Amino acid sequence: MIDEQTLNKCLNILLSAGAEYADIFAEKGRFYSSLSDDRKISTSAHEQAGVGIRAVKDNADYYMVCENFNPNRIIETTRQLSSGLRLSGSESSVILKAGNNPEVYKPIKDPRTISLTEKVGMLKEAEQSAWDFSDKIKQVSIHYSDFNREIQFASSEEQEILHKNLALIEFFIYVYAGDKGDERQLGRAGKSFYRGWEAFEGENSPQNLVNEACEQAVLMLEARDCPSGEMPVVFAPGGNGVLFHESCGHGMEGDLVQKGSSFAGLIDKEVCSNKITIKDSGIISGFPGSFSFDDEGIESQETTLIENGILRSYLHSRMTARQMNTNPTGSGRRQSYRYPPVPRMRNTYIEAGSDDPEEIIKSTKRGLYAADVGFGGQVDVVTGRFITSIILGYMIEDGKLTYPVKGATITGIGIETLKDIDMVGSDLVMDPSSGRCGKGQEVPIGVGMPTLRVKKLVVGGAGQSFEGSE
Amino acid sequence: MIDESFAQNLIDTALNCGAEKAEAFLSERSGTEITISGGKPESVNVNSDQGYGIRVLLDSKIGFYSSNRLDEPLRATENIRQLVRATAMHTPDPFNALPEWLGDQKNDVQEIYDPELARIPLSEKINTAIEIEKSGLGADSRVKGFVWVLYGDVSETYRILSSTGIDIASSGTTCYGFAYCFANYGEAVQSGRFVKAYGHYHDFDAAEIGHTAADYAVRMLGSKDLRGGNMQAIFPPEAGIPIVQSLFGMIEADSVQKGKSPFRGKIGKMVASDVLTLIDDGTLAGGLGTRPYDGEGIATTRTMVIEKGLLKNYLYDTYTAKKGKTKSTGNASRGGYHSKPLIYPTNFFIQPSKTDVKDVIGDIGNGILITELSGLHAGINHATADFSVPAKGIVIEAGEPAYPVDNIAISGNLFDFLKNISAVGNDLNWEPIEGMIGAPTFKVDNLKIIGRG
Repeated sequence: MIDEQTLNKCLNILLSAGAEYADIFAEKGRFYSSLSDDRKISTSAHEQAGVGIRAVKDNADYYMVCENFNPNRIIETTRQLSSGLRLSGSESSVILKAGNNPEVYKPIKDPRTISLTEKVGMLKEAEQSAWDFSDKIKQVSIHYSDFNREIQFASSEEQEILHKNLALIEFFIYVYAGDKGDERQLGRAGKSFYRGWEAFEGENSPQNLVNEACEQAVLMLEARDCPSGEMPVVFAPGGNGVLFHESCGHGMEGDLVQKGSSFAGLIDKEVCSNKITIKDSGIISGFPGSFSFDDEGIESQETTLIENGILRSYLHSRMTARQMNTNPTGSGRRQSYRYPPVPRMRNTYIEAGSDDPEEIIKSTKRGLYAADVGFGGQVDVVTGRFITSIILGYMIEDGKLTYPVKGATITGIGIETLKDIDMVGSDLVMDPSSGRCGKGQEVPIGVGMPTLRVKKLVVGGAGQSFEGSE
Repeated sequence: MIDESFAQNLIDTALNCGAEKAEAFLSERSGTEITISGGKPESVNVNSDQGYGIRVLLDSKIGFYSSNRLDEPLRATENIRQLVRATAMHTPDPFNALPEWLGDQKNDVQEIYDPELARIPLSEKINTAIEIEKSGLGADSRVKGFVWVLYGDVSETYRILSSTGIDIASSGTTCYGFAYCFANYGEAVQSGRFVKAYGHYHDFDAAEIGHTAADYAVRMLGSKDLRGGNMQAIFPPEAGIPIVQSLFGMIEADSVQKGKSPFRGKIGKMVASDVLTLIDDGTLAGGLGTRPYDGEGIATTRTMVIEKGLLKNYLYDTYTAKKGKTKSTGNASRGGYHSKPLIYPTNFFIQPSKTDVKDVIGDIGNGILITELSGLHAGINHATADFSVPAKGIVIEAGEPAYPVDNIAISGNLFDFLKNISAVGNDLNWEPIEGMIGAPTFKVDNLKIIGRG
């Protein structure tokens, strides 16, 4: 993409101008998406390419973008950036060498080799099977997308030129079921992978995802209003991990820790029950938060955040690691060349515990079973205060799942919710279904968790007040 | 600006490849974002981009492709050929259309453009950003720190050219600031957030942003629990704006036509109290959402959505207008060259009255001033219009603020809520949220407040 001489020159310009660290992130991306909505199929495509030039000085990121690959234009932009650094440094002579470029996953059926006809055909088939599922299905919306981002990276620290290719595929379905009246109930399912179309074979086939969404929507038509009040909530394994991603994970990202998140100052302290271990991994093959190196050249890894209830680490970019005098954790991510990297989660999960998942439900006299927590909520990423609706839930009565409930919302504070977890199942399910995480920049993420129980959470619903759990 | 012949080439290529009609949207944008931490810059991002988005129409199908690869014109030709081929596979939809230039739609509304902005040195913008934090910390000793302090500006020029006769250009600038701070007193911690946009750099008021965020945090210190019950509630602009924003999602024509809106089938019916008038006005003098033409090149308009309680109009782009057998209200907007036009607010607001805010609050006696709503979109069921939303507020006793309350929720049905609005004040205020959203203070009778006390 950018020749070695130009990269050398740019880094030297920045270091000579007094930058303590500099990097160059070049990208050529192609994005394709197709949508089947309201019985209509449409597609769109997008291309974007550019170079992000970054200099760090006095713990601040100085960033400029050049959307042209002409070496003179890149050097000119670098000079503009260097003039903003005010103080000059000493003459620098970085000489870059080729780096080691491990692949995380090699797609078998590269989406670029799949014809438009086949992509549209897959969507049509999925849509039809949703309509065929039941005459109660009133609206179907299916989204498929793939992208291919070719990335070149060089920094003044390792002085290597690295390459990686990020190729994501996504399939999401939303269906609305209705009966006689105006009421509509949502069902949804979806997955995203850094893999080829082989990921859509087997359990993650579009057909299975369609069925999952339709079953959920139709079932919800039978749902009663959820009671409101404080009650035990048992979470189903897998995608519900997004709740802990939102309400706890962000509070462990280095930049938010520095801003006084609820996890600040608690390293090596007990923050919750010793049944809880939380990890964040960039090395789960094919998962949406996995990559060979992060967006500032740090080799991908797995970070243990909480180990048996003790807070062990935060997620760090180079910048926050430097500021907090520790090592980066390979968590520096950017949406694209247009943004400097910030610490982000990758695939965040709660480790399996030792409780029998069935026993967790059995031992709950009365409470709510959250089968699918939506991610249409809101969270204050610093305090961890959250509100989110539960798309699919059941009441638990006398240790058994009874009727489905609708309209439930749960509110709480992440770290308090962690402390209130009293049972952790042995059935960890990893789920690449959480789409994108937005924190100023959107990046793909994955989550995972076993069945677990929070002994009390505030549940909002239109039903009667909840009558105690004992 | 990207040169005109480039755009004309895109259109010609599309027509040569088999498109019946084609439209090119070109944009050039530059912007600055500066965040501050502890009195120093944390991140300084100076960016600029230019690119194009092209829409083609054939057999009642519309396809879209966008790119910033302006250095490779040959690539554009190949990609447009592919675009036409991909579009042929779409489902035909008789309502698909590219707008035609009608001759009489020329609009002389002025978009806000600050020519000074480009001449402000980066160092001055950094100092302005630092001033937000400094003034907030100086406002009250209980303000302990800022989580986010942001200064941003954007300058954008776009042009739309089409084979259907549209040729419009528009340029605008906006500066915006955001502050999010913490205050504590003893054990209690409260946060305050404030965002505001300005059309001209010299109007940017760093102290206003810092002070307001500080005030929002400090006024909630010492919060108690509330027993709850039905009461009169005052919604100042900061609490009313999220409600107006949420109403937008229900009265834009796409959600209505897809049957997702509780306002469907209610045109000509009373949906709110007669003191409520809700307007979208893309021509509003001095409005930050004001522009002569929308993202499809249609002249913007002033549309009465709810007039004295009566639902008069939904808001349309070209597609939904054709489907609804009406005219576009000029509400198509693009997030950039890479986005297809979608229905967005221009200046969308509750019309203020002449009643002073003090008089709106004054005759309330006992009640509550709502200061913050959280997660409104998760808390409203769009099918039934039932809502239950966590909130914070300040209890009012004998017309005077008494003490703040936390951990409450407001609950009910949106239509009852709108019908119970009994007074609207004169203090219209705005927030930049995908368009400009505005509300004056208003009063709601008989609102259900759920408390934990």
